[in-house]
Amino acid sequence: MSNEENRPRRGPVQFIAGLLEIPPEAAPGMPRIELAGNREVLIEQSRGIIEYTPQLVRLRAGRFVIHITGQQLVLRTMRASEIIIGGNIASLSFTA
Amino acid sequence: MFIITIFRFLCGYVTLRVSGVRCERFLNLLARRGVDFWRVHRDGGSIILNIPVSAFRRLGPTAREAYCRVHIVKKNGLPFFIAAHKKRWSFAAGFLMFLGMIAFLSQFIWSIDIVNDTDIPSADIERALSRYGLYEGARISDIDTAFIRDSVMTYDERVAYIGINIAGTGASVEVKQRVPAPHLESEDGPRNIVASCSGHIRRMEVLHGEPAVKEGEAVLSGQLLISGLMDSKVEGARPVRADGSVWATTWHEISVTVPLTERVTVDTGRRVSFYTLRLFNIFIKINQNSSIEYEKYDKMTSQEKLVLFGRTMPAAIITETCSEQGEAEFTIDEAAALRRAQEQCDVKLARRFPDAVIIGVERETTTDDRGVTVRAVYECEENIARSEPIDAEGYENNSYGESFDG
Repeated sequence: MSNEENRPRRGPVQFIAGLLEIPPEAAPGMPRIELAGNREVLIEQSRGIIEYTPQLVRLRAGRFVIHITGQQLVLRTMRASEIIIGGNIASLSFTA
Repeated sequence: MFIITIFRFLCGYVTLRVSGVRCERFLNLLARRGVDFWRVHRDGGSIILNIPVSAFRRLGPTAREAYCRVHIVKKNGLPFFIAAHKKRWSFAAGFLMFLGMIAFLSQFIWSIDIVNDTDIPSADIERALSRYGLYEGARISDIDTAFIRDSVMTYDERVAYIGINIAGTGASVEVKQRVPAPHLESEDGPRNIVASCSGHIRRMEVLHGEPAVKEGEAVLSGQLLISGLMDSKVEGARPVRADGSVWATTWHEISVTVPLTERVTVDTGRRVSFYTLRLFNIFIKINQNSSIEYEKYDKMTSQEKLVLFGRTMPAAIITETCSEQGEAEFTIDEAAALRRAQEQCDVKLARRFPDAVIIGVERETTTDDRGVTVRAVYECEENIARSEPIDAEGYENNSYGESFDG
């Protein structure tokens, strides 16, 4: 497998942001995630909840879907572009 | 976060139960429409969440769009509390009265804390502050701290600086004492050493000046011992500050008479107390109709300030205790009177000549109608040197005066 194939796929916006050396978190459509230990996670630039149960929260954020698993997960606050999730967070993963 | 919680409580919020198959869509729509919601958690198949009262009207269309059913679980916050209790006028009146009392009482000074590590008694400072308007019960808006500070510093010369800080209903006063400028001996001018009393010189220590007497000589009170005018062949007479010690044997006569019978005032043990309640500067007498039937009495006043949770309140109980005093006649025997007279002689001598060391004493005792009289002659050793300024007459009388022009 060549290096070209290993490189992550980028859309035109990310490509231009890369050319202009804009920080990734400032690029449009790129979610910003802030973890406070395993107790709280703040996700900015999210596009909404796909699924919510006390064990799993799935969120749409840009081109990703964010999976947060854990126990007693609670949506502490939710606004148009910001979600704070609390509880015992076990893992955080992404799928395209 | 605490502030946000208070704000939410003041504005009011509703706890909702949302049920349906697309609860997540309901949340997304709500967020997209600018509604803040918080504390979202699952309860079986439904979701529990809190939304502000102002967003309640927007719930209906959102719920219909997401195919969800919304139920109110609980109404929280101040608007709902007021609505539930609006018919309880007395409760509201009591609450308003409480707020009014707090607002009214916080307009006055409740306590004055004087930080005073000086020799000036705090009571004096308190009196001076009170004179210029800072006292317990004074209206805070009427207090001009700059004026009080300047006035107290002028009123009491011992005060070098006074700092007044008013924080809430308490005043903190810091006092600094004036330190007098040190006395410079050089400013006193030339001085002689003269004899403070008559005696027989035993030894001399002349530190500065010209000795005018010698050891072994007898001197009279006021006689020149060390001259402040020093002779010099080159410069002539030079005025200096004479200094030194002259120890001499002196004799002091003390006479004391102690009567054999004496009338003294004694406490009869009967007493009556009056209580006054002080609230700020209002004095309320508790036992109004009481009167004192004693002919002669001693009055003692004490004030006990009320302390609540370690803080002094502007209230105190003032107790005035009147103790009846009677007269009694005591007779003492001659031996006791003699002993007392001798003791009083010693005390008198020590008071009049504190530096005198007693070498010997001769006592003469007489007893008559007046009582026992002791006449004691003390032979002492003491420093009789006394500094005295040299006046113009002193210069003229001095034989070296011709070359002195100062």
